[in-house]
Amino acid sequence: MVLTTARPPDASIPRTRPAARRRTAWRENISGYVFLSPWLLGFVTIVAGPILVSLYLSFTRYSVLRSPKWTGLDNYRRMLTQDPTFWSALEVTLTYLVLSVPVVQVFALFLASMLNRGVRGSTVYRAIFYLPSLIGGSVAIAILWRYLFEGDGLLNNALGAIGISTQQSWIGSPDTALGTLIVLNVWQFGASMIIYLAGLRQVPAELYESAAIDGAGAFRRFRSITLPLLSPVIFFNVLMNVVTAFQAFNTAYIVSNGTGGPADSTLFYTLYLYQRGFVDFDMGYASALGWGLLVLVAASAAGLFALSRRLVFYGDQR
Amino acid sequence: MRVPMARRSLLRSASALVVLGTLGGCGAGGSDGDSAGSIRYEFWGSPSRAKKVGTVVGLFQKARPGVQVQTRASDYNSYIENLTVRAAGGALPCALGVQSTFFAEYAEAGLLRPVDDLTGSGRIDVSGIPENVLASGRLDGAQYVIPTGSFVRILGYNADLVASSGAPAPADDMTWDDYATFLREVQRGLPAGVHASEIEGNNMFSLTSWVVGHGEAMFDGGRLGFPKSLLADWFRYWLRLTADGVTVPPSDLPTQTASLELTPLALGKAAIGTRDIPHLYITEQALAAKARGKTVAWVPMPRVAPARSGNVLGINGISIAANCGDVAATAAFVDFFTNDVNAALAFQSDNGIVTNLRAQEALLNDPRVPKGVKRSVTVWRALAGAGNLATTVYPAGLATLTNELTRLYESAAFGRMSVDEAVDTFYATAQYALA
Repeated sequence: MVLTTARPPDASIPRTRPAARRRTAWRENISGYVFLSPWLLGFVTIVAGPILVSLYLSFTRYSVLRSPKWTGLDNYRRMLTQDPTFWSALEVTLTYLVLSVPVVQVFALFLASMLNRGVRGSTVYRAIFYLPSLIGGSVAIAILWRYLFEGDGLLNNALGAIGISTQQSWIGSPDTALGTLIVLNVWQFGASMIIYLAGLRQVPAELYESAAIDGAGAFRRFRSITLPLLSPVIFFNVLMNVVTAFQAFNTAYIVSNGTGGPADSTLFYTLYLYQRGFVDFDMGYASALGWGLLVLVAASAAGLFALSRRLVFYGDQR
Repeated sequence: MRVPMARRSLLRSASALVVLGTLGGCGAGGSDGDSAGSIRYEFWGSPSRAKKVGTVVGLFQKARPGVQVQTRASDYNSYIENLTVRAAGGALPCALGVQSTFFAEYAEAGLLRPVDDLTGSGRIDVSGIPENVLASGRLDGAQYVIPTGSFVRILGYNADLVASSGAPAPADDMTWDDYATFLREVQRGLPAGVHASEIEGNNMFSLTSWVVGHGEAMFDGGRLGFPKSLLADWFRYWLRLTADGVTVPPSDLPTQTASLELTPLALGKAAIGTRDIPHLYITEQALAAKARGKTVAWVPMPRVAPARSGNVLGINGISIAANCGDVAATAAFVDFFTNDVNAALAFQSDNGIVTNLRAQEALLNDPRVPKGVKRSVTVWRALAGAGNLATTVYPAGLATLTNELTRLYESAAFGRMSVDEAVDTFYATAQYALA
């Protein structure tokens, strides 16, 4: 048996109890919190606070000019069962999303693949393709888009020049108005394209060489090498585009003069929320719509993440 | 005693924050509330209107040296938004520009001060304002708005285009059936691509003309005051005309709510449309600029019976905020704006036809007043003199109903909804919006 004796404590190190140690740690941290406090104050008052207030308001009838009146689930009940415009706006938004997001991805990936081949002047092409992403969401472009697609707009003039005479107002018809906004969104494919290009540059060339030696054609190489290795980038782009599509507002507002017309064909969810909140000043209902949008976006993101477990290949998986 | 290191650090951090906060607070402006001898007047309008208001304020301050008036102008949509937000924060200006279409929202919320005591004592002289004009600023028996300008919806038509169609000029006592017949007659003689009329089915104020012209009330307490069948008939009236090619196509509806110069009537694509009186002159100038016509003439709105006018009167005016800190100065300013002849000559009916009859006379007699202004006053006087004006008070919730009417009419016009569905939806929305 070995007797061990505890070493006597070092007299030069002050002895502290756990509570005292905690107080010291707290005092040391407080400087950090004090310098963090302006941001914290801003976060609470400008972000978290309004979010919580809007949650409360979504259970009230609140017209801004009078105090909120508690109505429980009435706003949500009205939204889901008594408001056909809500469903119409949701349909328009989902149609816009389902049609524009895949087209943007296909277009962006196709052009990124072309640029990845090292064509001459690719730097210039890259800049040209990226430019619409920078200006496409602006009010000026939305106004230009309206003039482009009016009955006597530039598009019809161009069609007339090649022998197709039409006075069709593309933004004036509910059958085509949403299409013009989808085209505008697709036109802004540049940001996705740049990200795809970066992803394509990461794919090892040896894989393509090996596949070519084994007799794989271009399509097979794309399907079996490019797509799987690019899947994380595709997932990222799709997720970002889906979230952005849910939040689309500017172009619909400008093109339709804020009405979402004709016949609600461009009434995006966010535009309807804006009308209810800032035109009708029905803030309680608008808050409920806002939380509805949050649930939609969260559900969509969750769905995409769930899908990613099967479709996205991360190199470290076994 | 030596302060421990952690506490020194804390003290330094807190001191830094206090200094920063103080410096930041120093940058903030002081209170912009009204105080004795200094009031604010806020209104909507263009820079040109702001300049005219500035001239009126200058005249007032010369007449009342002890009172300072600060003004602020913004465009119409921003103005209402700002006003609502400021009302929620208790920061309404003492004098605020309002309109008969939206003042009820603020009055019902207790944000506007009834001015009956001021008009009764003569501190705001309203003797020069016709009673039916004054009534447009009244709610539940209390006067909330002192009308400074009025507007009336009438039919404006391109006289040259109508003449070229071979149809006679419209009569000024048409019924709605006569009007439909007239439109069809005009359409027969118009070239391809030009239509007899703009679409009015989606217009709340044209609907008001239809409803009051049929002897019904637009609103009754917290609900619509007319039967569903009347709304359904209104929708069908315009849908039939559109189907017969008499109106512009539904795809042109967005252009009707664009700026005045871009509407089908102003572009020569339609021969007739409803307009507020002052807009006749603007439309005429737009037509002349494109050489599509020289004269925009007018006739009263159609009506069902001679005793029931379909020309609905609206007003722009000034209200006093309920929490105004200087009612005496504000009342003096409102009284000056409304009654002073020099003020009227400076403002030149820029926001609706001036309501004071003495001011109207001054405008007509002054050679410096533009022709368009004189014409608007003359048209108004012709309608008023004939007793051909109807008054409607718009309750809170009108903005919601106006947008809903547009949305539902468009849906029906494009065949996405039946007329009965559209009418039912409108009534359901009204039940919620007017409650």
